[in-house]
Amino acid sequence: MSQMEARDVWKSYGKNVANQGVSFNIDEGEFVTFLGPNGGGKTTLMRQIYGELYPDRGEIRIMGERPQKALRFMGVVPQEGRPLDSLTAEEHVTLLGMLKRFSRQEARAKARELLELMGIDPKARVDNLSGGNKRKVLIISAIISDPKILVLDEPTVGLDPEARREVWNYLVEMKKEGKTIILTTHYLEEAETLSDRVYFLNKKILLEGKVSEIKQKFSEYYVVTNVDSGEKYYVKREELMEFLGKANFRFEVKLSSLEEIFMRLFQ
Amino acid sequence: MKFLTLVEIYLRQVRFYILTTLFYLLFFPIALILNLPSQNTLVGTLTLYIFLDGFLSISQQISFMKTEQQLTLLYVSGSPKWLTALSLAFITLIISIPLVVLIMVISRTAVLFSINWVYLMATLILSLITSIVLGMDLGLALGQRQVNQLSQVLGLGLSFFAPTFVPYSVLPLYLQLPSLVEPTTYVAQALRYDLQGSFSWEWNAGVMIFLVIGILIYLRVSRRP
Repeated sequence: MSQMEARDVWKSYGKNVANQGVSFNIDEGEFVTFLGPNGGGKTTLMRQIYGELYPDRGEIRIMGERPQKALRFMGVVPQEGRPLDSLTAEEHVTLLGMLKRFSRQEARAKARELLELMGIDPKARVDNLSGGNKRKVLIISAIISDPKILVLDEPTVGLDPEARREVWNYLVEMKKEGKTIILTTHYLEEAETLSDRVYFLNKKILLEGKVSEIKQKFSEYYVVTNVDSGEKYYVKREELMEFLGKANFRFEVKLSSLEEIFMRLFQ
Repeated sequence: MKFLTLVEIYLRQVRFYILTTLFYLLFFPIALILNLPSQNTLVGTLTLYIFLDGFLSISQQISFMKTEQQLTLLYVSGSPKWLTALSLAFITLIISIPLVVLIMVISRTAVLFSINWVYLMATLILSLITSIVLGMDLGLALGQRQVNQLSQVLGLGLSFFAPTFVPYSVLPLYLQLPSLVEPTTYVAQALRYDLQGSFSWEWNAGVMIFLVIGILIYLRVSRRP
């Protein structure tokens, strides 16, 4: 049985439909990424998963419960979330840990351990931390309760490559511990590196599967790039030789990457 | 306990601001009452205290927290939005109640009134809770910029376009009727009775109706994105 299941979820803001009959299943311990363009309904879907919004139609069940009740099993890093201002990193993680029913002593000990692991000074004011370290404070605050499910809505946006890699490494560790991880991202490389499965979402689910399966599905197409102009052509395997024979430019040929599949799906 | 943790978070965030607020909330009203000593000044000042201050500060705080995603962050950490608002309200309450008592004691040297403390506390707590619920509604329904802009108009409208510094009965009919849509009208008239040692069920019931309306609005706006 799936750990998380969504059936025919619809959500609108006035006349603007954000989610259109979205259904998915996520098993325990899976790392699933939702990919899609801006305004494609990823954040709206996440907010329904962690129960801040209610679907207009359809339902989401997490471990057999409504999202609002299942929130106790989840750690969430909201989109564009910023730490609570004027607190130190230790205060932030400790107090949010206490909201998750830890005692002050337990929360503080856990906060110090995790902050040290992530290389953040516990006494530093969150307002003075770099963007990457602010994001880490949010991630630590989300995982302090050792949640079964981690929901991360674009957690690496705005981070430099090094900070992004650090977050990735941490997520890989979380996955090794058997946690279910749900991620939204714009970074195709991120999805490709981390995910067991991806969902392409643009209001509705356009495509779903393991990264390797999706690439396989699109492997009948080759991407021919004009190396001088950068122009790209998607050519079927059986038409490739003929196409290359006629090409009067310098070219590079390769199989579609996830990014190219993404571009084709959403253009 | 979640509630106390939220109170602690808020107190840690506003530790410096609170001193400024206390200074403003204490010295300004005392100076006003002592310079213009009358029961009307006292009622008007108390109305600003127990209704406007809560309403405006909660609406601004909630809209700020919404814009900064802090409400969401606290929600995903296990605190529903109403509990977050309640903790903010609690701070307002624990600051306001002793200050009101202090103002009443100091005002006794300048203004003649025969107060019934039980009635006053009933009106005070009912009005504060109503102001907090309505403030929460405004903060959740609108963005931070709109709330800040509206606050200026609402502050003036609710204090000076309602019979707060003058009794309702002295207003001409064409001003009496529109003033009935303003909650401060009911709060101020209920306070007038409290300061005369009696209790007005009618005016307090008016405040109660605004509370019910506020709760119904909350149930609607709290589900909005």
